[in-house]
Amino acid sequence: MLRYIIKRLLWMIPVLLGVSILVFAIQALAPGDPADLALGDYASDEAKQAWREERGLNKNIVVQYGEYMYNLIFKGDFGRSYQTGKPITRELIKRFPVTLLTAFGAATIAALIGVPLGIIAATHRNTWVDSASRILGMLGISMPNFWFALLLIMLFALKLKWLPVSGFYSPIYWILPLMAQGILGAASQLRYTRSAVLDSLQQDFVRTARAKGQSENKIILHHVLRNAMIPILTNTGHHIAGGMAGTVVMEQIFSIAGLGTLMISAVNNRDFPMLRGCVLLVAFAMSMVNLLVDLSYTAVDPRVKSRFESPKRKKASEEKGAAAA
Amino acid sequence: MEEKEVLLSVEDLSVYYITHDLGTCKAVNNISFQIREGETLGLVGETGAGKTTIALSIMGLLQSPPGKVMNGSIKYKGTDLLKEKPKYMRKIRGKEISMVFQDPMTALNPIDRIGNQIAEVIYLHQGLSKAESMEKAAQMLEMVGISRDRFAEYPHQLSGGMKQRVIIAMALACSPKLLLADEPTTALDVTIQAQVLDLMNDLKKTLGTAVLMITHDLGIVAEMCDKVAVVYAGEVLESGTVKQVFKNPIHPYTIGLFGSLPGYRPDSKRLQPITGMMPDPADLPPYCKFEPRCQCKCDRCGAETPRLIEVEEGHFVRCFRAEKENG
Repeated sequence: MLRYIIKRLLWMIPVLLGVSILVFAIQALAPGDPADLALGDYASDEAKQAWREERGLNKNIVVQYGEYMYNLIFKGDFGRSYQTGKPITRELIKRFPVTLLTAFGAATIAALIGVPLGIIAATHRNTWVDSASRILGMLGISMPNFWFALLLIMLFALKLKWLPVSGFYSPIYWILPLMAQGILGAASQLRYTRSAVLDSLQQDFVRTARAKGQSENKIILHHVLRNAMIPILTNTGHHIAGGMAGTVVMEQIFSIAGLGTLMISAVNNRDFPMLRGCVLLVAFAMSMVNLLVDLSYTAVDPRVKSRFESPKRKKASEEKGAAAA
Repeated sequence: MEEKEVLLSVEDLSVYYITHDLGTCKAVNNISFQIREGETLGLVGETGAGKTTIALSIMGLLQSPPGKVMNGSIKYKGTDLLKEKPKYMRKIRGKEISMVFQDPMTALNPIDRIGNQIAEVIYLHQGLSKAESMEKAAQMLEMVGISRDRFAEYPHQLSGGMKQRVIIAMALACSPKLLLADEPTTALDVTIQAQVLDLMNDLKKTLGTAVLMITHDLGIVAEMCDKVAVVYAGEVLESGTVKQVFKNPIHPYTIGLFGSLPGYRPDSKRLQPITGMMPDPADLPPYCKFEPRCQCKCDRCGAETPRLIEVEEGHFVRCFRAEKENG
């Protein structure tokens, strides 16, 4: 197991290297001179030249990349923002927890609402309960998230005045953005859960459990749901990962100072070092989420776990099995 | 031989599968049979003859819709199971009547330890604590010849034969009065088949369990059963003691079944298969169900429905030939 985790962590290195090269290459090809945007249209050519020289932009792109990676790996330094001149590492540390909170919070809400509804829909298949939840699920998947967020703001912030319109200062501010994202996520979670539970309900071992005289509720909880967990966990992972990168729109609507708003302003201002930092951080976080999801499979399914066992232990347990047979 | 009390009595049972697109499948048609305490009845027939449907109806596990019991009764110790509430059935299932399924590869929960799966049924019915149930489950494992060291293993760590042993241990854990064995050896290879059958025979004797042995294998019937009923298209065509039916098969279908057994008649080198296919249960022949495939049909077969006729004591045949022979 530990070997597997280490292996997966090592695999993240080429992935992140690949991402960094890609980001560097794209910005080299991107039109627009950051110096123009930083200094304004009326700056002299000499000033622009000096600005570029100061930031090493006149050097060969490969050299630039080498220096960047050296600073990142050995000093943990993402460089300085073109726009504000402040260290990017500090900005990322400030913003990342906000995005992490929205991503995990929304995925949790999605699971808490979507999974139980999905189970109910599956166990009441082809009844009005099932139809109603399917219509809701369809609605949730087809509704644009910004529009749903605006509806929530209109109702809870403007009309009822229960919650603040925007910002992200204390838990009461978290409710609307998390709800907006979480409820829409619940729609897809519902559909995934429904089909996973239905699939599991068709299996022979459910009939075996019924033949034992087990009650239907226990069968659902003990036998069916645990077997349906893998697709549900996978989907939860998608929600978290999607939340990391996809909160751009939500953060704009609710004026949340997370990675999303940071990325938007970095793009608008050709603030390449800032953008690089954001993209690399998100790529790292997504790889970690994927790893966590894969590891969570082992908690649910012993067959997955045995695949992760080290070859030595596996051989030992097989020999034990053969001896017993 | 002294006859024991009737344990299960299935009377006039009809089960249909009602679907919108495929029409109504008449899977079981007016079937009657009895099982006495400690007795083993073999239910023999081809795939699709309605054998599994009968077993699932007895367990109350028929999937509905599309399955529906149209008429008849299933009396267990005098109580009609078809009229009982689900709660009562849950008490009966696993404790009084239990079932061994055809495919051991899929019948166990893949992510639950085998010991726990056996303990589950013990805990449900025997009023023991969790720890006591676990201990009893370990004993059951040993009883079916699996070391208790393997209690905490998962189904994927066992071979097919061992999985079937676990399922048998599960089915017998509460010493049921009646065991429904639905092709318990079909998915296993021959050497393992023999082992599993021996095991079932031993356990049957020690526990005194009555068995409904569903199979398409006449060899298993000969080895395991006291009585046999030949089922075709959801009807009993011939029934009696194993001795009666094997020594003196009368129905052309039964004779055909023996003809398609390899090595049964040393004089003939080629097998003689029954020509044709089992009729579509959604579109059964109106009179004798076997008439289209029958080698010795007469005009009456396509115009009248034959009844079960008692040709000797306890030996019933549904064929006009038997009527002629017995006046």
